[in-house]
Amino acid sequence: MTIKQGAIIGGALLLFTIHTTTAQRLAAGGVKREPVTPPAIGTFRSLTLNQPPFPFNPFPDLPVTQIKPGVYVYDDRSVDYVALRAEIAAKQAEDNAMMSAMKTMQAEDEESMGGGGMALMMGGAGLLLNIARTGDDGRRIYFDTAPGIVYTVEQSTNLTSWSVLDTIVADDTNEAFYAFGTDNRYYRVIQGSDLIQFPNFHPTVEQSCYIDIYTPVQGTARVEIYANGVTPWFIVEGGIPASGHFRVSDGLYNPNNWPNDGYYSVTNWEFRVTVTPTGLSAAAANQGIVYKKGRTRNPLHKGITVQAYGVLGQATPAVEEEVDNFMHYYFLANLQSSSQVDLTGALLNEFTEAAPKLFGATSRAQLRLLMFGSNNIPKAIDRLHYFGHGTNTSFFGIRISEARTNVFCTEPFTYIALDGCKTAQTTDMLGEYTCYWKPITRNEMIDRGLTPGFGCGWATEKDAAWLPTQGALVLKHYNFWVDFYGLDGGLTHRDLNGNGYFDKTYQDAADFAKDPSGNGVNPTVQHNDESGGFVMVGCLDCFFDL
Amino acid sequence: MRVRSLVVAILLVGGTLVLVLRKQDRVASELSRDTENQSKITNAPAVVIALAQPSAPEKTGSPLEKKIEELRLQSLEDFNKLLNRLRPYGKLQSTRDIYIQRRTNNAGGIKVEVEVRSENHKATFVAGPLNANGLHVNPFLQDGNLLTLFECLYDGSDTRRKPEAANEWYLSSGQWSKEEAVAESLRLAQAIGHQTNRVARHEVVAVPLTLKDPAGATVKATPFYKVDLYTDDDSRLLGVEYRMGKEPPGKVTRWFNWPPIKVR
Repeated sequence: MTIKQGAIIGGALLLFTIHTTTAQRLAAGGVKREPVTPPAIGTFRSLTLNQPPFPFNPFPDLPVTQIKPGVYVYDDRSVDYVALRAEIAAKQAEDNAMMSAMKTMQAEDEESMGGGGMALMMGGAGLLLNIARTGDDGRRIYFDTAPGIVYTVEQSTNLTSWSVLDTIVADDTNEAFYAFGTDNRYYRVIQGSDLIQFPNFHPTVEQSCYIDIYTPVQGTARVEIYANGVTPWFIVEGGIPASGHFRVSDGLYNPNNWPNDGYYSVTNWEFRVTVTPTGLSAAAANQGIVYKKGRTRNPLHKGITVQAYGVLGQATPAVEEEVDNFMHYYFLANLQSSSQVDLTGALLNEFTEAAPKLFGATSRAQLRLLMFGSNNIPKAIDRLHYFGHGTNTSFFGIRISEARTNVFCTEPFTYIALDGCKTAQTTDMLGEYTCYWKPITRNEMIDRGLTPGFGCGWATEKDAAWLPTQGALVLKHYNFWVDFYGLDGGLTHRDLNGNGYFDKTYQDAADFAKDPSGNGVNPTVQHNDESGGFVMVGCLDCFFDL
Repeated sequence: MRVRSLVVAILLVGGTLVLVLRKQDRVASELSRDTENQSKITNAPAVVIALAQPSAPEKTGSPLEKKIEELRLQSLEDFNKLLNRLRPYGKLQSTRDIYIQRRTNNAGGIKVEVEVRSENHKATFVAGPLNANGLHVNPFLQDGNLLTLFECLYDGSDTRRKPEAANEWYLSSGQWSKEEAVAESLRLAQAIGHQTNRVARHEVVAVPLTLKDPAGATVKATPFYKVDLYTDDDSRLLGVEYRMGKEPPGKVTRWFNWPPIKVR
């Protein structure tokens, strides 16, 4: 393992909102401007390319014109970009050199593929921010990571003053954050030292106050844990084991009692880790600080099963009624694992005629209130089945950023099924609601004292519409959910002896729905090809009511 | 002594008519010999569990009822095969309870599910959907009694039925490599009839837990090994959970295969 002394700053600067080329605007304006000597940092636009600007002048030898204070245009009409691309490609192939400012071409490629913005490498090795449009004025900004390393995300509007946007402890080889809106903003990520790593990091403390640590340093370690930033919850000091891996916990958690071992009344946890190499003074120590949120669980689950009404377009009343029947089936299944409410929060029962429907802004506001609460109204539900349009960052106009602000890990959903196109193209949205971004086993949850949670959605476009010429639904999609929830081999399958325990895990139910083998709702279907792209996160070997 | 009870219940759930038949066969006197604790027979020859003596069919009128009776008998036999071949965790008991559930299907036919239980284990078999002649409505699909799930009721990581069972996890001091866990899974899969040449990849999760013994002392142990076998189209063929004892190998506590298979 490479040991980096000090932090690597892998900068990346991102800027949004380019709609027309600068040349077009200058031509339209018809104003002649004189070349100037620009400062080192500013907003530099190309005269010929429709692309986001650079924060510096990529062609210092070319004439530059100031079009308004701080904004410059470099005259690149003489630049042969095709040849330049070839030159850069050859150079990269030759020595795998660091990406240069000419990364502009890559940004063009991303944009042509539906991405947006640009990504620049300002220094460091291997840390590069990428950006992709999300379809609803949002940008997903992502970068490759090493699991266990701490990354600090900073933002700026002027490249001078930076503020911390987020601190991320990577739990995978790629992490992401989101930006919404159309203002100009720059982002950079600072990679922390790998002398102190936090493997298998989970951002919350629930039943167990612990931190897993790895360090290649041989010597001593001191771990200080603060509860709500006041006084140390406890401090541990000792020698670092030869493997470099160790866990520090307060010892209060008893896995035998999972998932009901009790909770802390702490909102914010801070873990300060200091490692000192053998034989060296304290001045040679390295320190890493990470944070976790306190998480509480309401054991009384409550949920809602909703459809965005009219999602199928100009459907016939018969088709709408058919969708209603499927939604009712989903509702009855969900009613077996938790109480169900309507959009006003009123409890429903098995005799309810149809699952709640979402119509426009009013019901969106109602659903938001149920999901997130407000200043004086607590969040009402922790379980949701949604059917309707979706993207990888929103459904029914409710954005991923709202989940981050209102739910993120402190009051997570214990079950969320987002039956909309691409709602799980990445697992970001499921993660924001459930606090789990990938599958995790029951034993891992027991080990960490976590409450079971599960989320699922689709990575792809789904064919949930109806056949216009026949006036019938494409049933495979709905049958997948019936089998996933159903009595035959899905989540609501129970012991037959009267104890009534659900005995099919989420993974079992997904296996069944994917390949019902003639045992599902349609006895002629062995494999449901509509199951492609089904994504699950959280405790896949847990049950519907746990 | 034989005790038989019949409970019929009709439930209307989600628009699906569910008919539950509960049959209980206890042949305690015939099978009074309880087998020893499973941990003691690790290296012993397979313990042969005597088949509970089947009762005579109660209904002989329709081909469907005859078929269901055949399924009941076959389930008993297959359950005993599973105990002998999987040699699961926990004490093997001789008592057998059988529960039969029939479900109607939207497209016609009756799905039959048979659950066989001993005091510590259960297995679920499915058949159908069957037509009135007791034949699968789809002649191209496998007919007969097919295994979906076998599990230990109290010794797995799912402790809903007996939460205090977790207090014994600290005794799992044995160590097992992931390779050994996969090899054991393939061996057992072949033993009960899986085509293991379909396995393209596997996943093994074994999480060391920091547990507490009855005196409150901290004990590090890995009580469960979870093995998933996948086909080359990324379908999970088999999911197995093993419970580790004081010595390896781990013993099966949960066995889920889908699609279901005929026990060999």
